[in-house]
Amino acid sequence: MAYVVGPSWFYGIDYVFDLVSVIVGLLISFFAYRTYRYTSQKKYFYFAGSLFLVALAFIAKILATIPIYSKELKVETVGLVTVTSQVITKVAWINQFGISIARLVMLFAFLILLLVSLKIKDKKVIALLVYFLIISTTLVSSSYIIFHTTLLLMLGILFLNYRRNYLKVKSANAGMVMYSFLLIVVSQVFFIFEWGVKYFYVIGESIQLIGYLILLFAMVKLLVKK
Amino acid sequence: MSIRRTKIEIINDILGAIQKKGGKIKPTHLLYKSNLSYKKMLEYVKELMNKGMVGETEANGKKMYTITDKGIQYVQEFKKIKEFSDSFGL
Repeated sequence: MAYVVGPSWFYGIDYVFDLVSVIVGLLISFFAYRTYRYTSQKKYFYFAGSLFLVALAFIAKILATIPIYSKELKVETVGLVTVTSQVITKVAWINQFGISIARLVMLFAFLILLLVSLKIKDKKVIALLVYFLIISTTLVSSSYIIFHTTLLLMLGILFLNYRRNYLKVKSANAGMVMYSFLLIVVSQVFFIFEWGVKYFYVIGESIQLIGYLILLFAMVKLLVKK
Repeated sequence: MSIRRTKIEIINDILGAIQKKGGKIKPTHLLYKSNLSYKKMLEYVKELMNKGMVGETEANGKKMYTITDKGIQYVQEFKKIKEFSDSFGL
């Protein structure tokens, strides 16, 4: 089964939304890597890596859904039933593979972010978390629900961590990071239930976009500061 | 109660101390200003020299530490790094 969610009028618009997340991920990753070059502190390197992977996961998602979305348009114009059905089967396989890669990369990205943010350094704990992450996303039948639920849990913990950080440092930027993660957490709730209501995908993508835009604003504010 | 400084804060304190002294500082003054043990200060200075942020020179037969352009750039970047670090609680 191919991964096609949301109403058809939204096809393509979500690319733009996801591209914003790609830009934000790359921008933060770049700044974190630059900080690593200055400080030689590995936490910045891992932080940069995690945000780079977030960007990569969104790129993989975009690339995996392009053939499906373009197919949706082609079916209407061409109308050759036999040919079309063959292509769809092939495209669906590429799409499934791409989405699986995107999900795995996304989960690894936020796991690294979680490990860095919570300062977890015990290799046994890390190995156990990686193990659970792999089996929960590859060996289950309802991988879609498991993916978003796992992401919801990880992002929820990250939000609580950023909330605690905001209460400690009380800076506007820390506040923006906290609120952006709150919105990204909320977006996951809509993604979990999007199979039931198609418009939940649109709402989830929109909330997620606002979350990443807040993060982008926080970064731009920081970078242009003299 | 004093709060333990992070590595980037210590580096900023060292570079800031050299900059405030007009770009040159005696090791003993740096030891006082950096608020580190002698051994730790040497470790940091060596690391900063390897990174090209601090240089070594001699004035009147006495060793002096100097701040390089890269070091000055670091001090300017520190504010951004600190804010970035604080924003994500790193």
